[in-house]
Order: sequence, then C-alpha cells, then structure tokens
Amino acid sequence: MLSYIIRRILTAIPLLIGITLISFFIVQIAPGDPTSLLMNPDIKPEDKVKFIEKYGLDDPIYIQYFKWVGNMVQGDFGNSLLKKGTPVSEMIMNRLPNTITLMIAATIIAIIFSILIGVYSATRPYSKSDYLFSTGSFLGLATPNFWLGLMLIMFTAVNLEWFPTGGVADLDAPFSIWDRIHHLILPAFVLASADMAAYTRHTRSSMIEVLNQDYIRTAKAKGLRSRKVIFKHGLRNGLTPVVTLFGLSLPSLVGGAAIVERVFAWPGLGSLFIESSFTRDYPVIMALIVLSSVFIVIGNIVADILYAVIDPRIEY
Amino acid sequence: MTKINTVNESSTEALLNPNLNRKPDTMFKIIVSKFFKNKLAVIGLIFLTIIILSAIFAPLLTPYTPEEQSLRDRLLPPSSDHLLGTDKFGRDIFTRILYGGQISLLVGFISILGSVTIGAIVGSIAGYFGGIIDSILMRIVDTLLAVPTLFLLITLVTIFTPGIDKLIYIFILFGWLGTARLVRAEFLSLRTREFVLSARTMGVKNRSIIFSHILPNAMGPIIVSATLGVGGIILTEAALSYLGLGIQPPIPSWGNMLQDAQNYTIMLKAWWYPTFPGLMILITVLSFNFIGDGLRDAFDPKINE
Repeated sequence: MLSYIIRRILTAIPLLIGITLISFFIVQIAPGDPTSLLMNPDIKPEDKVKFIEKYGLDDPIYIQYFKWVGNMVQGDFGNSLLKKGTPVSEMIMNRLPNTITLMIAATIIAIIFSILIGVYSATRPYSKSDYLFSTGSFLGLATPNFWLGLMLIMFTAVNLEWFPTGGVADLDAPFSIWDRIHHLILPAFVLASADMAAYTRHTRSSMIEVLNQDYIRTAKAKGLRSRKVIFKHGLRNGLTPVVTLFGLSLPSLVGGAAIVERVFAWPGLGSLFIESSFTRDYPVIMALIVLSSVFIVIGNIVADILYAVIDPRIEY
Repeated sequence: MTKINTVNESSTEALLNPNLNRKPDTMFKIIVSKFFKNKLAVIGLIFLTIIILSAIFAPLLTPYTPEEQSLRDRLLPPSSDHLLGTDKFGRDIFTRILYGGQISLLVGFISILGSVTIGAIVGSIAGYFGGIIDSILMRIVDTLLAVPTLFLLITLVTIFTPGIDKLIYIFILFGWLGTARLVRAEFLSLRTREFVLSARTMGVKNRSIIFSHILPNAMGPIIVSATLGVGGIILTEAALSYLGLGIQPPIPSWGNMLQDAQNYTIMLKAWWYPTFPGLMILITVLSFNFIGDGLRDAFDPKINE
C-alpha cells in the first residue's frame, strides 16, 4: 500500500512538469511584449532597459521558465501586472477561503443527496419515484449551471427575496454565521447540481448490482434489518465507483466553480481568474492554472488511495 | 471433389430450417432498428431535427431579424407578435434564439468533427504501435486532462480576440483528448485479434490496417462519444459566451443572450428573457444526450431490446 502511494506520487511529477510547461508557454504565445502591457508608452528608454533587466525579460526563454518555476516552488508567484504590483500569492490567499468554502459545501451537498437518492432508487428500481429521480438527473446533466444559477436568483432571490442575489456576506451587517450560510446556499447548490446528477446515476446502478449479490441475500437471510443490510453491507461496496468518479469530476468542479462564482459575484479564485483574464494579468493567470491543476492531481491521488481503502480486495 | 460438394450441400440444406434460410440482417440494420425501439432516443432525435431545421430555416419562420432594435417594444412579454417576448433593445427573443441556434450548432458540429478526427488519429497511432509512441502521446493527453479545460479555454480566448473561427480552433485543440483515450483503448483490444494478424501476415501496410481494418470496428464508441460531445461543446460555448468570452454581440448566441439578461430589473420584470435561451440550451443538450445513450445501447451487442 505504502509503495503504491509513493509510486502514485512519483508518477505525478512528470505530470506537474508538463502542467507548468503548458501554463508557461500558453502565455508566451500571447502577442505583444510584456513591457507594453505594463508601462506607459512615454517611458524613458533607459527605464525600460532597467525594467527588462529587473524582471529578466532579456534572458533566454528556458532561463525565464526555470526562474519562474524556481520562484513558484518557494511560494513566490510573482507580482500582479496591475493593482500596483500586489504579490499574486497575497491575492490568492485573500480569495482562497471563499473558494474552499464553496467547494466543500458543494461536495458535501452532492455526496449526501446523491447517496440518499441513489440508494433510494436502487432499492425500488423502475418504480415511479425511481423514474422521477432518473429524469431529474438527466435534466441536471443537461442544464448549464450558470443558467440554473440565473433561474434560482430570479425566482428565489429577486422575486421571492428568500436569498441574497450574490456575494459572501451582507456588506453593512456584522459577521454572523447564519448570514454566511444564507449567502452560501444557492451557489453551493448550483455548483453541486451537475455532480449530484452524475453521482446519483452511478450510485444507483452500482447499488442495484451490489444488492443482487449473494452476500446481500445471505445477510438478509440471516435476518438482519434491511436498513443495516443496505447501508452496512451494500453501500460500502456500492460506493467504490463513485469515489473514482469524484476524482474524475474534479476538473469540472474547479471550472464550474469559476462560472458559479461569476454568477453569484462570489469573491473566490474562479472569479479572480476570470477578472484576470479580462485584464490579461498573466502572472495571476499562470499561477491559478498551475495551482488548480496541482489541486486536481492531488485530488486524483487521494481518490485512488480512498478507492483502495474502501475496497480491501484491491491489491497493489 | 464434385461429389463431396454435393453431399455437403444437400446435408446442410436438410439441416437448415427454412426460416433461417433468409439473408441475415446487416449490422447497420440491426443497430438502426434497436435505436428506433428506444423511446427517449427517438424523442431526442425528433427534438433535435426540429431544432436544426428551425435554425436553418430561421428567415422563413420569423418576420424579424436578430439585430433589429425597436426601442418602443422593449421587454414585451410573450404574445402573438413576439412569441417569446422581446429583450431590452426590443429585439424579438424567438428570432434571436433561432439565429443563435445556427451559431451554437455550427460551432458544436464543426468542433466535434475536428476534434474526433484528431482524437481518432492520435488514439489509433498510440494504441496500434504501443511502446514509446503510446507512452509519449498518452502522457501529453494525461497532462492536458489534468488542467481544468475551462481555464485553458478562457486563457486562449482572451489571448486571441474571441470570434467564431477562433472558438472552433480552440475547442478542437482541447476536444480530442477524450476521443484519443477511447480509441486507444479500443485499439489495444482489437490489435491482437486474428483479423489484424492475418492482415499483417498478408503484408498489408500499417496505415491500411489502422484505417481500413481496425478503425471501422471502433466506430461505435467513437460515434457515441461524438454525439455526447456535441452537447458538451454547446454547454461550454454557452458558458464562455455568457462570460463575454465567446460569441460577441450583436451576433446572438444562447450564452450571450443570458449575459444580457443578468440584471436586477430584467429579472424582476421580464422572466421570459433569461428563461427561454437557457431552456433552449437544456433541450438541445438533453436531445444529444438521449441520442447518444440510445446509440450506445444500439451499438452494444450485449443489450437486446
């Protein structure tokens, strides 16, 4: 097991190198040189030379790459081209807690609902409620999440005024946990919706398969209560495919978070990324691409390890 | 020789049940009939046909043009004059949805054609040759798949000014990864089959083995993933256009119509404005998903009606 974990981490290293290469060179192909973005055009030529030397812009491209990666490993992501050169790491740390809150809330919602609905449907396959939930997950997979967000804002926030239309907290109110949760419900639900649909379908089909196994029949024949059979004997086996799915759905969770943050004016990393794209603030863009990819790679490793923990039959 | 032949023929004829004597259905016929027995798939096909036809024949279906503004008719509710109401510039929403459909479907179909072609070529080469070629190609695929695609799309779209053609190039650039993996997996299992071995012993060239012997056998999964992929591209295009990074106004697209509609007053007074473009995306993507699922079942020989 330990050797598997180590091997799994080692194989991630070339992946991480590839990711830094992609995010570095994607920005290199941008037209125009970085000095034109940064300085006013009337700057004195000797100041321009100083600037180029300071940021090492006349270095060969591979030296620039290694410098960038080297600084990044030490936690220095460079400075924003705008906003008076604020360090990128500072901008990220300001926004990070909001994104983490949103993602964790969405993941919890997605997992709880999909397990409940999936198990419920699996125990009553082809019943009316099963069809109802199946239709629901079909719809969930085809609904653009930003539109679902708009619809919820329109009906429940603008017209019924049950929820705020966006943001993390009321601007003029003192901090309160209820206020935070009140702001979190809609975006977290919207972000959860797509994954919820996918997880529900997988939980359902894998639970149906598991519930037909001999050991389930044995457990029932022993006279165990059916709830215990389903949740103790069935669910653990039925969940393995869903764990893999969780790893696979991380990229869409990160991308989806960006759009949902935009819809709900949620000041997280996703909206920071989109704002930086509009202003072409390349250091921020590069840092966020690398960080989100690293997060996805780590998430996949964790999912693989979890898979082994849940299913002891798997040997490495 | 002749004697043996006649004996064989007569004995087989005797054994054959007259009902089995008919010509067997072709693979194509079986798949088509299985597909049409799937209700959801047929519903999807009908909806999609209507959507495609109404997008193509948009000028015949509506008296308005998508860019025609009429400031007197701002934010009118649905009526017989304006089936789905009007937007904040008094443009007819039904008209804009039809014309927007042209763009969304065009981007979806061209991008999927391009990316499936590239994915099939990369996947077949990796799966057929294996070894170092396979390792290199699949590491590239793995790396690109680890980066959130939406972030790469957004970055590239902002680097190049957004436009329909660039949007299609960028979708193709990142759309082939899934197909490549799928085709590679098919090739890994197909390349050891007897028909490939016999083709190779007969001296058939690699290129011809790949494209005329193995690839046709992998067509089922490719078609299924392409069908589901169109829906995915339409969703992504809508998201980018909603962010203001896709199709640029005044050209209508389902996504940029929703961008216009995110406004407090509009949401309070004109529910039809943000509702219908999104509903259109939902119905279209749902149709592609139903058709894709139907095709998957139809191509699967293990599933019999």
